[in-house]
Amino acid sequence: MEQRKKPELLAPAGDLSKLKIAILYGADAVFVGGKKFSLRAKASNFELEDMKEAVLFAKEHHARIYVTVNIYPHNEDLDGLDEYLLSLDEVGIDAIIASSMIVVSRAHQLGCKFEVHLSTQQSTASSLAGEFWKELGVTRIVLARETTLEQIKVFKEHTTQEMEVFIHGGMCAAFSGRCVLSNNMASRDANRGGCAHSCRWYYDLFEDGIKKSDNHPFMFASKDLMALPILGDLIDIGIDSLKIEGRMKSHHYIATVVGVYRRFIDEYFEKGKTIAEQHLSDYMNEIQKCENRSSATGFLTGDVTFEGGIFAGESEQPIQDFIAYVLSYDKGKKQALIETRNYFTSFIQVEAILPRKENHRFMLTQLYTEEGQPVEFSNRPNQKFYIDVDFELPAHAMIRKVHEKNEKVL
Amino acid sequence: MKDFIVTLQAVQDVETFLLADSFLIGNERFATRIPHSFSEEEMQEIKQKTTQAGKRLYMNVNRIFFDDDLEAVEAHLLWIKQLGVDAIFFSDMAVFVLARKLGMVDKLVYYSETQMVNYQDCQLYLDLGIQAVILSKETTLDDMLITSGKVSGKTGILIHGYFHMFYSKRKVLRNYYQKYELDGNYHGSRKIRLKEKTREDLYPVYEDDFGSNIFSGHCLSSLKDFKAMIDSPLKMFILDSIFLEQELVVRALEYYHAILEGKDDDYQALLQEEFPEVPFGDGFLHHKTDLYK
Repeated sequence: MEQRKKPELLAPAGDLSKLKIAILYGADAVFVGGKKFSLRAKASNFELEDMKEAVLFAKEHHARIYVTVNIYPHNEDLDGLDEYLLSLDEVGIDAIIASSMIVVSRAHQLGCKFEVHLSTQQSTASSLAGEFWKELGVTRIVLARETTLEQIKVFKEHTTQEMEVFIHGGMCAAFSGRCVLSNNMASRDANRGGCAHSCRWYYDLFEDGIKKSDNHPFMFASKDLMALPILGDLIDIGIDSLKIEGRMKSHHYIATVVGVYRRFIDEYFEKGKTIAEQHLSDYMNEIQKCENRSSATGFLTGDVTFEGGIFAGESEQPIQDFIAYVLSYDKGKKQALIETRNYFTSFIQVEAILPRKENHRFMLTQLYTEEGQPVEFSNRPNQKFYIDVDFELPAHAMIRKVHEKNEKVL
Repeated sequence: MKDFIVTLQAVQDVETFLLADSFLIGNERFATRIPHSFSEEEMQEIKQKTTQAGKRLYMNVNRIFFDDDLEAVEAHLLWIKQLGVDAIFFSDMAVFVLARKLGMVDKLVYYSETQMVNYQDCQLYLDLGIQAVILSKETTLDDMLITSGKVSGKTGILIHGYFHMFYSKRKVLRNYYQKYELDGNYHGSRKIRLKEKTREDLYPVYEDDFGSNIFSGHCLSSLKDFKAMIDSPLKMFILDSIFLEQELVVRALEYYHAILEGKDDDYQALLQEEFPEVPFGDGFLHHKTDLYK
């Protein structure tokens, strides 16, 4: 098989526990936000002490940490920028992800040792634009999500910078950084992390004064991105980093999505593209177990028609299949201590999703309280129970319900 | 010297907007959210007229470009150089790199409409050797005055017109019409409006071959604040005529000039009285947006 460099799998993490999950389940790098200067203001975000622990954990697992410093700061936000960049440098992170020229510039002027990556908020869509930022010391471009596979290929042929491409998660309907709908309609600054997702609201449309939306409200939000069907093509182009979006996503989501992409990439390199693509439907089924939003390949496969958009009536259904998080396993007693998430009863078919391993289906039998009392069900989150499990169910594994259909266990 | 810049809707508008100092035009292959897409022939005619009138001509090249656009962009910039314009408005740094190659950096005016929200970024862009930076409208007047006061170089702002809120490569109108198999005349139309279900504003939305743009529900008017603006180092003042009648832009120009000349009147009230159907507002001039409420 042709020798090709394996791309980095880059995952999001809203807090330290999610960061650990991302790395355990196969991420080569994780991006996080601090309490300041980061978009996704409502994500949990990291204190400096959290980042120190994150860096240590990542180093133990040969992973990298990137910190988003990607807001477009207003005048009053500039205070403390230098101190923040220097503190990140002291923590020992691997890179910052920046949007604003002042952040890029100050990081270099201060002599920070971390790399500077350019955020997708700059909507860099051509190799020439990338060249400009290279002159300022940017070593990696996070490409605009409006680039097609063909355009990405041409970009790659003309650049010496690293390229990072989104492969999964939420998509802005506008060019990133070029939308202030939220500012105007909800007084929330989209370029400082306050986006109100106005693109997901319902509108009436008038054409020359005549209402066209009597039967169907106008919407223009985007389906989520899911690049699995063309992941092999991205790998073949030689993309350096494949990025999953979702710092506000759950542990279950991160474990599932990272796990799937990890297995695809590894299978692609170990067994070849054809083999990996034969399992595509299995990988996509696996992702559906944590996804409640419809997805598409976005601009990667060309023009985005209405099939790439979300319209009224295509509502999200909450998924409640994730039922427990494994806290520990006693090999002697063959018992796992679990912490619950959603409602479930005892004696049901479940599957365990395991860090860097195939899922394992089993029968969840009796639940016992920590005092040893048998119970029939759990109907509150964060309850702790013991369950009997005759295979090793490690800490950080997760358990979800299984539905009766012809689905292959991955 | 203050520079009143007006975007044109037609070639003959050069003779209509007598009080403008400069005109901003473009072709939709290279510019987005323009009132009219001019051909090269029309641009040459506009160039002649502006020269005769003693005005300046600015070219809008503000789209976001992909690698397969770059050859055409470079050819267009070369054509602009030969045409001889006074400035090129841009938002994609690929244009900067190409302009630098062609020896035209001093013509460039950075105008991305969002993102230019602090004085340090503004100074860095000016330090590249470009002619000017247009500050983003989502900052307050106070912020704009602070920024223009702190930087060394030319700055400007949008003072009048429906301001831009959303720029997408997606064809949001086409997708909606096709999804529900609706008949309609939406492509290239400047008569499409959106109204959010719980709000009163009508947002103009415009789609061309290269994507979609959505604009504010009200027409920005800076007449009440213009005195503070002209007392500041701000130099370039843009009146965007998109979605507006020419008569309104003409009248607005008269009033801005009157203020510049030191005259005092309630010009905003006068403008509203003459154009009662136009919803005027002051945008973000006195409206700070925060992370979240």
